[in-house]
Amino acid sequence: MTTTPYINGHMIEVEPAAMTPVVNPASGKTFSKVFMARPEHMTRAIDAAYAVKDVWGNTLPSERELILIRAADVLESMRNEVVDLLIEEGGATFGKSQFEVSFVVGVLRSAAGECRRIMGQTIPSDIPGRFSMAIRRPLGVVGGIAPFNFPLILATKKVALALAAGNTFVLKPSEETSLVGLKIAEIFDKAGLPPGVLNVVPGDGPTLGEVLYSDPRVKAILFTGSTAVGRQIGIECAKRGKKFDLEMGGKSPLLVMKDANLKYAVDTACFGLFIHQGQICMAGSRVIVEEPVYDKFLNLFVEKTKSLKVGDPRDPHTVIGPLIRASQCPFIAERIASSEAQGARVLCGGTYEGNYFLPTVIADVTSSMPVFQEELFGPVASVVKAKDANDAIQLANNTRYGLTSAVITNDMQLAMRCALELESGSVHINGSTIHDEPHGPFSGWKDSGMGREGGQWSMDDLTQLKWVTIQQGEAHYPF
Amino acid sequence: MATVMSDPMERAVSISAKKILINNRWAESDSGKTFATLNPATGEEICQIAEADTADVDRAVKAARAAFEHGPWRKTMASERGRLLNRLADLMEQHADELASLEVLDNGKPYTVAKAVDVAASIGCYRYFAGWADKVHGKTIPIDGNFFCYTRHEPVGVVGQIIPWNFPMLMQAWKLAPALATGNTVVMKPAEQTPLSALRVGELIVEAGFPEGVVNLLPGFGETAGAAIARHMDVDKVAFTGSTEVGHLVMEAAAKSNLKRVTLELGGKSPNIVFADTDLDAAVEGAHFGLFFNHGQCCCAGSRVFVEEKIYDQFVEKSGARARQRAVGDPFDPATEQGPQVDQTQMEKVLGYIESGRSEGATLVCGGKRVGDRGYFVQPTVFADVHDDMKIAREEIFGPVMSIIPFKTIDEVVERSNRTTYGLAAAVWTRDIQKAHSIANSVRAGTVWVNCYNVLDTRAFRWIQAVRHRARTRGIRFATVHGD
Repeated sequence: MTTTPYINGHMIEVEPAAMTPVVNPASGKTFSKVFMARPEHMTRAIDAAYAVKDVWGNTLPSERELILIRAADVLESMRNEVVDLLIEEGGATFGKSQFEVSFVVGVLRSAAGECRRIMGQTIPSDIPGRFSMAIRRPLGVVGGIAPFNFPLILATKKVALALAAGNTFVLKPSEETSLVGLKIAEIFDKAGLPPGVLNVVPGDGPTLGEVLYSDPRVKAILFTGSTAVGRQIGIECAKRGKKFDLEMGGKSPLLVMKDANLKYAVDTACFGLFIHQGQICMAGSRVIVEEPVYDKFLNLFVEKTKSLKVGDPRDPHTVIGPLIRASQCPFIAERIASSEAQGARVLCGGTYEGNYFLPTVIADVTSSMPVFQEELFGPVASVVKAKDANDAIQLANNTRYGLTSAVITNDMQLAMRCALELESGSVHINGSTIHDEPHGPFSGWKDSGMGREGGQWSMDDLTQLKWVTIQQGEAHYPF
Repeated sequence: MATVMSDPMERAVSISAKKILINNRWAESDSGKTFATLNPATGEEICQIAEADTADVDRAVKAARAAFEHGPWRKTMASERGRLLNRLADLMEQHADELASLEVLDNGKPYTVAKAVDVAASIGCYRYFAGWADKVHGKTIPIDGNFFCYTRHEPVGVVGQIIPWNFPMLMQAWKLAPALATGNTVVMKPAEQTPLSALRVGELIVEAGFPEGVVNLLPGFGETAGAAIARHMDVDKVAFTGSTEVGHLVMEAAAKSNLKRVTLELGGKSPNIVFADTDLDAAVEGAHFGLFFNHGQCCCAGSRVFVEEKIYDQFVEKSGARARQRAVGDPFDPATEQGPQVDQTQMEKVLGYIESGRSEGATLVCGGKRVGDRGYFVQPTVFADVHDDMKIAREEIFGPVMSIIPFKTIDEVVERSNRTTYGLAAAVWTRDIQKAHSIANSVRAGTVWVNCYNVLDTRAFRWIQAVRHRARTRGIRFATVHGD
């Protein structure tokens, strides 16, 4: 297993005493060690990525394509090992880990398909004899900072698309999931990626992040994480004229309209919130229900929520595993308590033991309550009553966030109205707030993000456009 | 001419696929008829192949229609279609030597070329279109009023594909890969001269896991099986690569039957324009490659080499010398540059053109004869002092015959280049960016190469070729500029 920074094609060597224990969040037991890098290691990683940026940027598209396809094959062949690590290090359930691996195989294959499609344009010039075209060139070194919740997806998406576009990469995985980050290096190494093209440096976020965004050789930072940190990184990048892509927090609404099939609405609400214990930026943490079906929906929702199995993430039947840190639990409980003081009703859950927070349904939530406004990153559903569809849309938009939203209705007019009026980067009709595909244009609005991730939209962001003109004959100047 | 004839001109390669592929099952033809496929290096029969005709086309179209309307294919996720194409590419990689050998045996091209060009580019083509499968975007369109408007790209349906013998495996890939990536089902007729590699790839398609009826392969002849596809009432589109003459028939059959969509990639008489300021040796080598590659059996062969008067004599001399060195012989010999023409008909046609060149007064610089009396080998042939009105300067020869034609000025050469019914490709050799772009913008051809030739890439060439018969009016063109 790779346990130390992967720089220039190698795991660096460190004294065993310098290693930090890695703890399984479910059992609390140490199962491995990892070396948390120091600033100089980050600089060495940038050195390595910078040294090969031109060589990699000039590889044939089909060579990059083949490496990405091979990486997909390698990951598939390592499926059990990677699933195991996702459970062990990230506290993910068995089902979520399987899903994550399959998704990333798709990410790698889809990114492979981008390599040969990085097209420019020819443009009809208005100057006689002038031939005009636009071509795309790689940025150079790109830095990525990835979160713990989908450690494989959210890091690999950045890496794969950046490499496809001809950039080299330095990845700083979440300090909670360093080993998964290093596993990505191992996968690409086995796929035959040349040394220096991808470097993975685990360690303290603020310390290493600062090295990464401060280095003028790094041309863009791709970040997924909290809004507070993302904002800060955006500011630092802006100061240095660096590109950035920020995928940040959310308080995504699921709108259940009065014509909805309530069983399907409940299934959707449960999937969209309780997968990975609610530790997903897209989690449908506000369920906004139209008044005529509010009580009935609540009964069914509570019934299903109570039936969800909480426990050992290795058990394939488990839905709710541990939160990544025990300190999350009192934070969430405090937000629930202060909302209860304002009139919210906890219908199930609401308590915790260790780092297991029980799946929770809170009813009668209003827009002034903390559980309406704040991202809790836990298995807590805030159910809100809407007078009618107008009210539902207004409530949905009453937040600083705008990551995703979803609507359960078969009313076509209403569905299209929601598609246009909901203020979020994605709107999924008759689906869950959690939906991603490697080639879709994923992005957050408002405080949820800047820039976008996925398919050709990433390729646009991860290359720089250059305008080239050629004058045939001589141009006529006024003086 | 360097000749490296040696026996034997075949290699032991087992041939498993000799029948018709319908619904992922191999079957004899309805009539029970078979035809011989020959080794052009020896003229001897390789094996018998099931001969498809109208009844077989009907069965195949039914299978393709059922697969399109009711089979799992329509519900197969786009990424899964890409996955299958990548799996096919993987299998072809595993069988690369065998596929190259089949191509050599059946077509006569040198093994080194078959391996490095035909097999490699076919694999690349499948991989490229695999990447497209999940990226075929429609549009959302903001229209006036309280409306929502969007487009989706849906598969055409059952696609008939008729492919040529000059690059059997690669032309199969160019046709199949985009059709499958976008979710169509296919009824394909490989050329009667070269069915072996297409059928072997058919076995790999089944092995890769494509569902029943998605790819159906019908070896047979143009007048029978090909015509049946072109006029079939239940085929939604027909794509044909081959001669202009047959292209007319395909379009007519399509128009007379169900107005099916038509894509035609037809003949050419491509001008290759050499200016005096060029790197002469590079241009000589480039023109040599542009014409003699694949024994001149390329639709985009640079068969009219226009050379600026100032360097004309020098160019002729060097081109003759280079052609004389061209190694003709056993295609399995690694030293061979040129094998046999594909069959006797083609050889005789080429020799006929050489005769007409002589009789019309062109100067024969080198070559001009058949090589040996076994197989269909023709000497690399160069004519100088060719005039625009000679038959060899007007008609597509499809053989190793280069015509070198002098010119004086850029305007004149543009006008003469465009004086043809064809408009496939063109090239220009110059160090002057002014001349390069002037030619690129004024020669009416789907592709213009600058200081290079035969840079054939699925990404560009195919796209242009798909609209080739409209390219003139739409002014779509493609220029490739070589880096050094």
